[in-house]
Amino acid sequence: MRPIQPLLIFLLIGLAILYLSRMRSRFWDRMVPLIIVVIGILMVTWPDMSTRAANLLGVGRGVDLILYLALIGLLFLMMTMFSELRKVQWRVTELSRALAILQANTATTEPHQSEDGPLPVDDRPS
Amino acid sequence: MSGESQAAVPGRAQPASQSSFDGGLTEAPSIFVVVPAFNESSMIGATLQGLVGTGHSVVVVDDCSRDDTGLIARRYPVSVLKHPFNMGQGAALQTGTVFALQQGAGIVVHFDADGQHDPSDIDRVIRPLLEDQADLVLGSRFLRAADSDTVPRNKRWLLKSAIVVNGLLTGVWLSDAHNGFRALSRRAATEVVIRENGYTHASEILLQARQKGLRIAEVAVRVHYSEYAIAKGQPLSNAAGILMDLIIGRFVR
Repeated sequence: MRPIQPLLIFLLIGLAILYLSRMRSRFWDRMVPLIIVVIGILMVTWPDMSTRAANLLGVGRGVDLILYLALIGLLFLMMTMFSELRKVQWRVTELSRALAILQANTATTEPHQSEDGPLPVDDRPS
Repeated sequence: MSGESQAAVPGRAQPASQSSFDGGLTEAPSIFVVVPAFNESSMIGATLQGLVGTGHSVVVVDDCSRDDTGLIARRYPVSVLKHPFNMGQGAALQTGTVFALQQGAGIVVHFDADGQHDPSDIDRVIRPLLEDQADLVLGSRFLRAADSDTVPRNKRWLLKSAIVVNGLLTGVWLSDAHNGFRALSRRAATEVVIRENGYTHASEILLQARQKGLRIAEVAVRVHYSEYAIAKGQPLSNAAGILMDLIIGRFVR
């Protein structure tokens, strides 16, 4: 293992964590996968380029390099998707909260009123 | 301090009730007890019976139970809110807290629906708030030997390790990291927003309290372990999930 490999891995992971925790932006969320895709296309179109780049970095074959890049790109994509999911979950939670409070505030004194408001949610898998 | 409270209507949003705190020049804070409930039809009645006796306002948050929890709760003079789907204990607590604050709560108490907590401990838990000694008060079953002796053995090591994990991740070292009995001042209830819907809220509350410079205090409480509570328990897998949630929550926006 050439010294550059663990160094790069460490740098990349560090950058990823830094980005995900502090520096999120819509621009880079889309730019990074795009850059990786472009690099991927270039590598495939000019195979020699990948071999030379690979050797420079201490990786055996160009294919290996492409694999590593793809892996990083995928992981990045997964993390951004996960982050989006959390955001959506929070919005849904806040909405449900507002609904529950609204229903409680507008409840009438009828003892037989149905428990469900205007939005009984059907969570069953379709 | 006289004030007529409206006739309690079952199921309907209750107006703020006055506490029995006498002394001090300022108005007594309205105390709201938030009870998150999910499928607790067997215990919710007894729990609410005990709480209603304290005279404090009670807010039950039915986390979309599939049984009669909501129906039973509505028979008591308490406010009952219902989530359109199950979101977790943390979310239920936050909903109840937001509602209580809107109703003018000066103090918000978190109280379990399954009968593990004792309503007579409420006065003890809120005292540090009334005396302005703390902003967040946590109940602990490990402060008095009498309380900790009742803790089942197999739960004890799990709870102890939870204390360590919690301490490492939040920087707040308690004697009981996973006790649902809490009291928050209005300021704490406003500033601490529970975003973790599941069980991770216990640590999240501590983390936010520490970050926002709130004063934290612990008070001894009794925890009643009925057979029901022991059977319910919390599986080990939950602990792993909580750990993951905490780590992820800290690092992923």
